[in-house]
Amino acid sequence: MNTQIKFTLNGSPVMVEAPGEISLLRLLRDHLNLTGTKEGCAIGECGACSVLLDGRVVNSCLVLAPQVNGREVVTIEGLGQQDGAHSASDLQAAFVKYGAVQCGYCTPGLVIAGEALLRSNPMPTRAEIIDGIAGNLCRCTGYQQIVDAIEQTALQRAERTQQHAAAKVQE
Amino acid sequence: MNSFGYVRADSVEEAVALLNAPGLTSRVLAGGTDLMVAVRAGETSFDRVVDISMIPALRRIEMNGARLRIGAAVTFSEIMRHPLILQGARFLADATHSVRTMQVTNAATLGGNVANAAAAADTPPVLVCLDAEAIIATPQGEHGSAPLWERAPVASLLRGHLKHAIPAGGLLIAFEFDPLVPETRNTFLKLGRRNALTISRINIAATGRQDNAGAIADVRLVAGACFSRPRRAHEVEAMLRGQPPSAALFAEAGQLMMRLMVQETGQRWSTEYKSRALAAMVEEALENVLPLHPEMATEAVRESMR
Amino acid sequence: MLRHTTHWVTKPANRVDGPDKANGKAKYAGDYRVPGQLATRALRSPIPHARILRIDTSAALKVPGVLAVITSDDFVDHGRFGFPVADNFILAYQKVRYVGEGIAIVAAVDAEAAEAGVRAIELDLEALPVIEDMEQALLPDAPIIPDVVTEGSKHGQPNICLTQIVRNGDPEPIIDASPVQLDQTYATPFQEHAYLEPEAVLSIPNPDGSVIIYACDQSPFNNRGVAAAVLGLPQDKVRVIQAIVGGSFGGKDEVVYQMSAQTAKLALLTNRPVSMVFSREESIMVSYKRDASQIRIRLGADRDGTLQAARVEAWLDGGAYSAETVLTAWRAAMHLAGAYKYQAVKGDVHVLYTNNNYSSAFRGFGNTEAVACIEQAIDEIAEQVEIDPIDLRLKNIIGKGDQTMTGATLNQEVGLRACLEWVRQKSDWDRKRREFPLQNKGRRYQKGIGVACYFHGMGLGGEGTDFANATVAIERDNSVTLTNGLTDYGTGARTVFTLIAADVLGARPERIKVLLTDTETAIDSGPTVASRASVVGGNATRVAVEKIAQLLTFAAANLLQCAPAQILRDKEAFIGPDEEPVDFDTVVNHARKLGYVLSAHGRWQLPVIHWDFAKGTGTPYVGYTFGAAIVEVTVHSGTGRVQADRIWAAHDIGKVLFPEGAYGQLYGGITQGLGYGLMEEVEFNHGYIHNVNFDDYIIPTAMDVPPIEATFIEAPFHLGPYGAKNVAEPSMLGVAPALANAVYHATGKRIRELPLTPERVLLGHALHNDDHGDNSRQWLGYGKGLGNVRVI
Ligand code: FES
Ligand code: FES
Repeated sequence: MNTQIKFTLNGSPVMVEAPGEISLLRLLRDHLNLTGTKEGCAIGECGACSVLLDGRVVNSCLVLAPQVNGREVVTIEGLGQQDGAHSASDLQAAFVKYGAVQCGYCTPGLVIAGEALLRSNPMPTRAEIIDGIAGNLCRCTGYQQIVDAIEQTALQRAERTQQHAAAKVQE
Repeated sequence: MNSFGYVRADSVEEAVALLNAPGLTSRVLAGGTDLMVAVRAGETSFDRVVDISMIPALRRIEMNGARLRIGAAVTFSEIMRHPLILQGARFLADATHSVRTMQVTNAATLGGNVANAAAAADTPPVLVCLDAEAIIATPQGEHGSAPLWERAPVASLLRGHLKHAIPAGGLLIAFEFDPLVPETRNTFLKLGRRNALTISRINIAATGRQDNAGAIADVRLVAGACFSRPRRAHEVEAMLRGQPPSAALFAEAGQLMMRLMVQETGQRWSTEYKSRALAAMVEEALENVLPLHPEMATEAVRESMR
Repeated sequence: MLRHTTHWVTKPANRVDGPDKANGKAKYAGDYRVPGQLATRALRSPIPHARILRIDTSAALKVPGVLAVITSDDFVDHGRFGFPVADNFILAYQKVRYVGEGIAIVAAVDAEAAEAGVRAIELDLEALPVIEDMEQALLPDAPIIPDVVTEGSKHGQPNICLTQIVRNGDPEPIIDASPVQLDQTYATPFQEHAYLEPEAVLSIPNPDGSVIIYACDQSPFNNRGVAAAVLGLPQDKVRVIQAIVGGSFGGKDEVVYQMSAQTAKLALLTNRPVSMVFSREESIMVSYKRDASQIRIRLGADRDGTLQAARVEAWLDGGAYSAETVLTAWRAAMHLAGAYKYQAVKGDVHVLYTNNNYSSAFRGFGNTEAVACIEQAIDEIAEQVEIDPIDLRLKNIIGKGDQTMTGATLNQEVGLRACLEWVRQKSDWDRKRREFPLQNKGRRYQKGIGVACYFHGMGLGGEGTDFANATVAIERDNSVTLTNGLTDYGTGARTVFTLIAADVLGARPERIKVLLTDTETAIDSGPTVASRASVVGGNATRVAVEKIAQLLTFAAANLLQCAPAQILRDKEAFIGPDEEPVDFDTVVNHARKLGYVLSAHGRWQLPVIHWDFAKGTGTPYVGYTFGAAIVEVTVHSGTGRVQADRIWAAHDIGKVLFPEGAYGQLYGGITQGLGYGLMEEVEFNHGYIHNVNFDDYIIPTAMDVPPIEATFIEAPFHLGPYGAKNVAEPSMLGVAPALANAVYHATGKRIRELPLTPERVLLGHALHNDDHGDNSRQWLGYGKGLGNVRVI
């Protein structure tokens, strides 16, 4: 049964006609052609389908598509585009630099989880990072370099914030 | 594919009315973590889902007089960090945190965990251990338009794996319990096959308080995924009360718990393992809440279980 | 031409496909969307073993939206394929041999229509007795599974596909006369590859009757060969393009060949693009596994711990089709007794048919199983003679000039001793071995520490000719395009090729693009297996690029009016005698003016060696990599739950070309080894897989992987580019046995059966759940009954 779903996707309003019984994951991949969000299990056990829903990370395979009506969804495609404090492009670059990307299938989900973690906890310890990505399976990397990438991004962001603050004080 | 509709409720009254609309089989949608899995597996027993996850009244954690009250649509993530819960029922926070994945804790709700009634669920044993009550809105009047608010012990709602006793057309509103006093220690232990993304093979919620002489003044013990449903192990609790804690006593408690489990569930393929592991976990839980050396903090143990 | 200083190789580098993957732009096979694309669904066997009596697809073709249905009849020779033994089919022919085996495929406008089509197919099956394990396969009246004459048939054991042997002297009398003896049997489980990307393929027909297949395969040339053969097309009518592959670890060959041929056939029949994307359940039920093994090890040693002789016999559960288990078995045979000196070794590895899915390649390829077992046995010997396990290993490991267990002489630098010493020192081994047992007394949480070491033959060895082809071209905009017949399925091979080309050519890596492997543009290089991409593929790249580098040197000499030998290079600059640098672009443009053709082809092959399969003697490999691992654990004495606390690993990789990539492979391999040792096991009940998704088939999460301290010992290897060897496979080898040894150290319990689940650790044996196939049947679409499938 097709239904109309209206929500904010990566900063822009969208309206789409789609069956009301499908998951947000299928809505994104099959109806909106956003294939950066991956399906690894479809039962909430791998995190490959992670997206931000109203700023919090969820498995899109466990969200019923019409549930996002009137709400805000950010996918991997939208993460790097936004300006200022919300840009995750530094995190994406760190993933590449620190060797956190191998086959890359888990990567969009892990970048989303990493970004969600850093937004709620800008200076996480290594243990907190591990806790934060515990819902994302990666079969290639052994996670070590993923933790490195998130940790380094947190440090860089803190430095930048400090520099901003220092610059402000000087002004 | 199973075909069903979706509707979002903005208030409890609206939700109950929607759930009881004639001619439709409706089902509650909260976090979606269980429902979506069931739908994918071919669940077709309903033709509409009523989304209650955005109802403000179901999303609060607050004190109701002396009682701690948690809305049914409060997520695990909210519970895990809330100061009232960290103070008054730390082991409930531990249970929600034991899921270990932000994606799930951000979506999963306390009400959903109870209503789904999975044997291996993590929060029901804690709620039962707290003697928590559920507040349920049940349909009254035409199509449930004027719901009645009822109270029932959480323990009475759980009727076995995936079976609950929430009245038809009713909606879980909140859970209430007396927060633990500071002298009461509490613990949540979980045995899974790995450290995250794992369902409990066994979990244990326990509280304990010692009197000035060190004897056991109060103890409560609930095991999840072992019995047909989570319930206070009154037999074991009675055996412990009034005694001075000792390793031998806890070992005996573990053995008794194990016998109770085998009595109640019979010999299954997993019994050979689970009975032994259960006994060991009971001992460990009791040591945590009734320390032989009270100066040993529970924190260390909590961490060592990760 | 080996440059002495390197600018890019061995230095920090970014994976070439990293940015696209990190921002979600990388396209995997399941991400392609083409207009008119059809969906597919499969009719799969609901039972483990049956004769196919009748298939009637006519009703399916009448279902609205269904465009075509295929069965084995639609392929040449019924779609028979398989190497080395052609016992497999694109779709089941005459018989089904495992639960989930494909019988028919329906292509339709959408998935729902395809599913309805599948349900409309009428199928009659005659159930046959099921072989549930290796013991049953060997019973005298066991039903015969394969439809080919096996080596075992000659000895009245038709379910033994073949036996791979190693013969190096006569160990039995030596063992019998040894003062210290061991005779134990160890077992390892079926392991699921669990690549995060489930298999996907898209086939697109061309007007001229040819077909393009986008596939998540590991070896596109093999895929093309199989597809062309079963479609009855010449090879040039089938073009296989490798999509970005979301992990493989050996797992995306045969199963993807089947999907490729199926969709290609449907595309040609319907003249529409046809896609096939597996769900996780389908992936786990249909794709092949690492074989389960039982390995009986007999060892003889002196009182001082000197190993004397080994007699090893192994049985591998190859499942319903032999696939690459035949070769897995050979590699297992070559490593059965470990990296030690012996006077005599005899080994037999039998490949058995059962109705348990089927087994084929998986990281380590037989050596994973071998190391898991022999390294526990070595610890058992150490205990008997009361010598520290590392000391015992140091006493017996092979070094340069020694004979390996196969009798071949080792002619290379060996970093094994250095590996063992590094992990020993870093882990504080000696103190922990001493103190843990004392600390554990009366404790609930018991600590232990264990070690394992290994060797791993490089490349294909006796399995086949080990070559690769690469091409290079400088394009009009002076960018550089590379192709390689060996592929990158997440391993970082494309980055390694880029760095080698950058260094040899003196061109920034940003200029260089390695194309995804396309059978139309790249040149056949055999299968991308056995961790051979860096060495063989890397050398082919080097050879090709050296040809262009030479031309550029000539062009620079011409431009600067000096002798070619006078030209020096510094990154992109060419420097002549007047020391004025000329840049890359100027020299390339000048080379064009001179009429030089700036494209080249390079082929490289490992030296040919000889192994006599019938006699079990010869030289199995041109060289080896080595390594050692130590794992520290905590065991909960009441629940048997094992927690890995820390891991130390040292790996003799030769020269490290792409450090982030190499460490990534190392950590990733260690983590797969951790899963193999602790929690991973495909559970078969009467031929049905119980754990069909990631809720039940569990792999390590970030919280299960402890801190890993690892290093590379760079013992140079003369045949590798810049002295490199391989890392992808061997990295996982040591972890599982080190875990088992650590659990023994903690608990005093020797389990001898992996994985070390809480049940095994607490009870000493595994428990079998009571799922009799409900899980599998549900996800095969039989949850509500068999529908139009009749089982007689
Ligand atoms: S696809 Fe959603 S969690 Fe795996
Ligand atoms: S990089 Fe392959 S799954 Fe994570």
